[in-house]
Amino acid sequence: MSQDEKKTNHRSLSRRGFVGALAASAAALTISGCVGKTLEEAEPKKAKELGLSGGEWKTVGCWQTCHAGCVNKVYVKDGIVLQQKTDDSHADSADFPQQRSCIKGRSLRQFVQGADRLRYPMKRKNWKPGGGGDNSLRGRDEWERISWEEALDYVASEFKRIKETYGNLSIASRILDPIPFLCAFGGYTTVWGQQSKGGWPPVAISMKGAYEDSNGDRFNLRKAKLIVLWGYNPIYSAGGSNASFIRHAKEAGAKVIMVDPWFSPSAQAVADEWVPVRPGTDGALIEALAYHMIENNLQDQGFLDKYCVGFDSAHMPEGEEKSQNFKDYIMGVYDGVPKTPERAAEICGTAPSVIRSLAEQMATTKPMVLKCGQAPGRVHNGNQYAQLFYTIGWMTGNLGKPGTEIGAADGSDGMQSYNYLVELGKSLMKKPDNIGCTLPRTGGQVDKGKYDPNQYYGIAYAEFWKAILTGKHTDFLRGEATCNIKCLVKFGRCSQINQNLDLTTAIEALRAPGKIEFNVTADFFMTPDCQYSDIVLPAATPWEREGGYAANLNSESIIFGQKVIEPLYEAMPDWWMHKELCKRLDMDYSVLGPDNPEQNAATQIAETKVIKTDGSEMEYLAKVTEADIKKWGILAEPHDGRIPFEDIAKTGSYQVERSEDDPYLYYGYKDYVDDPVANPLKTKTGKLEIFSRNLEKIIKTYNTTYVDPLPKYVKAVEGYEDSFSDWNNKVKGEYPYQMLGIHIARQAHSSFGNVKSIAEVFANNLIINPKDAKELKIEADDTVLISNTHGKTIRRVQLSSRVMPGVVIVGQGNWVNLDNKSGVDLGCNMNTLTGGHLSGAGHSPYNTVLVKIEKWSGEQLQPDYLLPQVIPSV
Amino acid sequence: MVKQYGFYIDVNNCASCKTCIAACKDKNDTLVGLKYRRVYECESGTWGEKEGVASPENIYVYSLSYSCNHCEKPECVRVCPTGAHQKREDGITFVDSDVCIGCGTCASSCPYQAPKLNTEKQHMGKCNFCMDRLDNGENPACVDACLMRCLHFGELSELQAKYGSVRDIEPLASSAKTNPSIVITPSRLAKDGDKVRVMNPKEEIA
Repeated sequence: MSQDEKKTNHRSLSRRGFVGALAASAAALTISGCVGKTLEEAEPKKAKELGLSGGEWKTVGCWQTCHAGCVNKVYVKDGIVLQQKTDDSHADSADFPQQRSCIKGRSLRQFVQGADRLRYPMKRKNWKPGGGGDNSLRGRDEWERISWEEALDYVASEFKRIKETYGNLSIASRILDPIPFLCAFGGYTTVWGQQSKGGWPPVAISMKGAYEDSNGDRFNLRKAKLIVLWGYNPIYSAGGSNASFIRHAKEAGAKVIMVDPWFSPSAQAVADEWVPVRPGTDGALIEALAYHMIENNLQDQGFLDKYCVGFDSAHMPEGEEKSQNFKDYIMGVYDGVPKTPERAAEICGTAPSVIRSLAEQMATTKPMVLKCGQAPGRVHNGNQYAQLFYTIGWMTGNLGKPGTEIGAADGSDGMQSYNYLVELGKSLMKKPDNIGCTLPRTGGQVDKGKYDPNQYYGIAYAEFWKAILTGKHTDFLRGEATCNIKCLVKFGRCSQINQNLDLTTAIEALRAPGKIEFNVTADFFMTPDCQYSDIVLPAATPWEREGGYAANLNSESIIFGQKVIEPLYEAMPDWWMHKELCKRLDMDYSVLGPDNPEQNAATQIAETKVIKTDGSEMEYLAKVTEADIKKWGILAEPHDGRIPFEDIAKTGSYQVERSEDDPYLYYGYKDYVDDPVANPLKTKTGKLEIFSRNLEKIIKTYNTTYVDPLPKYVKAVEGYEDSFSDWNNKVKGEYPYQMLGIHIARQAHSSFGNVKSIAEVFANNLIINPKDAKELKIEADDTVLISNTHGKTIRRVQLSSRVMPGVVIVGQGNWVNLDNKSGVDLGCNMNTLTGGHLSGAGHSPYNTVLVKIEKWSGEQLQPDYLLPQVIPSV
Repeated sequence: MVKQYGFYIDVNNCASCKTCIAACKDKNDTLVGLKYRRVYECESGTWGEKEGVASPENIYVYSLSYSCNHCEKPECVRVCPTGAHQKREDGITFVDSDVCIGCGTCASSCPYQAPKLNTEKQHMGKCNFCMDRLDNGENPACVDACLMRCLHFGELSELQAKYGSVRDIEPLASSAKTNPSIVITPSRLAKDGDKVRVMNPKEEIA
């Protein structure tokens, strides 16, 4: 346990306890006219009982990475948030639902006002600028409080020194959002590949011409007779009201089948049937579904003939071998291996009769929505699953008509329409090009074939930490390349260490002598990123920022959150840090954005467009007057709109009212299905490409794994088949269990991993099937050691038959807590166990993990909520 | 009794998001470790073998969000030595914190373990139906929080007319003793005779 972690009992989590725990700390300092306020100052003024008088309710932002985005309102009095509520701007109904917030949003006051917030800029005691200091002490050193002036001077001078000594590309960041001031500083090394979307984007782009256009409207779900949800658990992964939309579809008559390695919380609420499948073997299951459909001539041959290429020998793209068609592959015409349900069962763990039943229902029930979460594509060789998923969907012909969809949760949450009925105005913050290293996110320019062969695209996610140690990495386009990373930077919401593959190597790289000379992190808490940094900067949350927070919650609503409390201690907004750094780096901040970034949110709201009630086109949402412009500093012209700007500012949100017969219904691919000749797709052939030579070509560009243009199940490295030492005789190997790191309602990745009031009701123990537990002689609440070649971690267990035998599950996002003596992660971070395998377009195969499980002989773990918070030592 | 308020709990559609607990904790401002509303996660079924493959046999899970059931014949009111536990005209039971001495007699007699010792305030605490909100024309916090729209409240007779009269469900104690003011829709997947196990780690339902 690092020196920053001080034991506090769980009382410290109440507001009063919070103040008590912080009572010894010094009063806040101020800098540059920004006043910091401690909670101690305000506490005596708190109303004795929660009578909630004298304060006011305000709408605030929830900015977490679940992408649900919900309305949260807080009761603020004397600078303290005392209570929360959710959307109450209109009565709740299925058609016009309140944007209710999940447990995370409802716990934001514990998050923002937590006793574990960073308070002051800090420097690691044994770090020295200029490349000195002992790297091996990262994560276990002491901390010194420094002033903002000192902190910013250190950061700027290190950036300058490292740029001059090693060049811009020795500075690296692996967060998703670009860091604009570093781009303007000459650029930095970034990462290529994919964290979230698995193998989907290049497959979608080559097979159907676009990635993010499949998501139908929630009202479209109600028109379906069958909804098949594959590896999709929206109540955990998206929160908000998304899962309730499936409930409404059921009430309108849809049957729901869930395909998943576990009977998920969403399944308990909506599933009529559960089809279990082993992680990463979904492709084998789909081949068998196809076999049954073809064997019984159940496929929608008319749809396939008219809209697809590659299904059978009569419909191959020009210039391709007739033998390379999907139908003959499935039936084993050329390879002699029919892809029967009986053959698949051995791999995917689904009984043949269950496979046949699923195939029958999918092929014969119209209209059908087939929706997949991104998770099943987040495996090694995940592209092949995406290929097979689209193929089986198209075989049923459920596309382009009301009540149909073949989609892969392509948007952020998968239950909201691709067709936005209200669109937030553009941000004014400028994003200069990263001139050293562009950002070729998968689904972006490279997959579309638009890349510059002379450009450098950085290091693959999967190889990042290894690359720091070895100085070598895979440069797509060129193959093996060299790199020399000396400086790591993190501004923004994602975690560099905690949430990326190969965490054990990450810590090794950060502690290696002569490698990383400087690591700086801006954050809210003493996250793992901060713990392994040299300079730590306390960031203000959107609740503490002037100008608030504007965002599209989803396709039907926007939010305009306000500043509700002063920044705690010396926390400062990111934009202020960037501006101060610009001064020190001899750069003009105005190249990045308006001098008053607080104007940004109001301007975005002013420029928001909303669909006209007849559905014909978009119009301005807000009527913006000269007075509004003056009051809010809006950088736009006055204009007419549907409702006064002040009304939106007052309620903090706007939602398009919907009803069953409104003109906004959306389902994808209507134009193509209505008239494929007049509206060809953006694929090479203009059609849906079951056989896609272009996909093979795209993946070849990346210099990783091979992807066949014909959809075929391919086993994963460290997948189910690799759990055997002797597959034919079914002899298990050293790592016999498959482990899944699910999105859990308790956390949005690493965010909220520190909030004990949620941990109290979501223990997030390792879920193991009672049959496996019996063999391992493990009982509920026991602590187990989970290990493989990548690392070791421990966790308490929960026994449940809801998970398949041979599969264990834990919620990902737990903060790593490395025991330096044993090398065991006491925090059960999933990435202790993930390897850095490069696959496809560089997606991260988080869900391909094999482990060994043993009863832990050491001290048994306490529930997470009783463990000490990680409190900054200064 | 002029009327009797009660909760409707739609177990069938509950996805166990536990937002109701967060709303309750926030409203009552309870410390970590103290919950007036809890969610049982129950499972049924086993793994057998089908066509040579390990297969689920009647496996399903349901969640039950519950708090004080504002019983018609509340044990807490009956046993309370100080008269702190009271029942209003509208059927809501509550603890008068000025009178409560925190002896815990109620906690040991309540079949639903509803009263909990609030160590911070040194008196017993439990769901009081958010009666201050109710009196103010608002709904209980948990009801307004529910993501799957599974929690509702109203006059018990109206709830029964709309949703039926089921109020016994594993693992809650039998309704016979106290007449709890709840109406439940069980899971669509549940069948008579299913054996159900509570699978929460114990701290989740403490």
